[in-house]
Amino acid sequence: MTKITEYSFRVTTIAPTGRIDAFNAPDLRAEIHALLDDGVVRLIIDLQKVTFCDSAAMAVLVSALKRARQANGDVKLVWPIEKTARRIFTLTKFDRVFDMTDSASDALAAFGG
Amino acid sequence: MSSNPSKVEFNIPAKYSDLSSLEERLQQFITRHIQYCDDQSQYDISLAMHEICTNIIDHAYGPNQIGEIEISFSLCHNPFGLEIELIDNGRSFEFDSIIAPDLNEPQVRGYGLFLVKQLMDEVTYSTCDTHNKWLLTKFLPLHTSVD
Repeated sequence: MTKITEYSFRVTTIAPTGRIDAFNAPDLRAEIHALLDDGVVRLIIDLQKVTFCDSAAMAVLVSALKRARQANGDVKLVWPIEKTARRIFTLTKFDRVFDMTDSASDALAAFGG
Repeated sequence: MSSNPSKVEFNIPAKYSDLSSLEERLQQFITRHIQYCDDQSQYDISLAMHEICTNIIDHAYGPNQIGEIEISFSLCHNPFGLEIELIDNGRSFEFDSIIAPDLNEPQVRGYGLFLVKQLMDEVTYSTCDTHNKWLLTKFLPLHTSVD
């Protein structure tokens, strides 16, 4: 899994690619929590290039959201481009719990950037 | 391998690292035996099977037990569909005791079996002295078997 981290307007973007599943979700969780430990509270998780998410991926997203909101921040998600990979977000109603956008720039704008 | 040409049986180690290859086998079975299965249905079946496997790894075997998952793919008829059977030799649990997650309150755990029930048309779980068995069924709209 390749990730790109960008810093802009005090908002951090992390963009995992490919599969996020029980096998590699702990790596993504560690990376996100390292950012939160460093004081990042406004986070964009750009899932555009993610092709598969399981419930372990959902757990990573929820834990990030809870920590960010506890620090008066937020996590915004960018929808996967592949329609098949979007289904888990609607079934779990994550599309209502998270602010979800079609692009990282839209997510940045939603943060007021 | 089974003598039934439209049934495939195999075992995999109960390890996360082996699950992506399992999905490749599922895709091969669908390509070979099912003339029409849209991308979303194929993805949904794959995700449901994956969630059952992670449940077996996490809960039936747990971190300290090495085990295997016995898997079969087969076709069902009237109505036509795909059946996936998954058998483990780990601990059993009370299937009916699983509580659906509160979808208005995000939580870290509890989505796996909820997803399976949403993604598949039928989900059954049975247990006996020697093993636990999951049977997942997905009914498919156009039903011409290639074989």
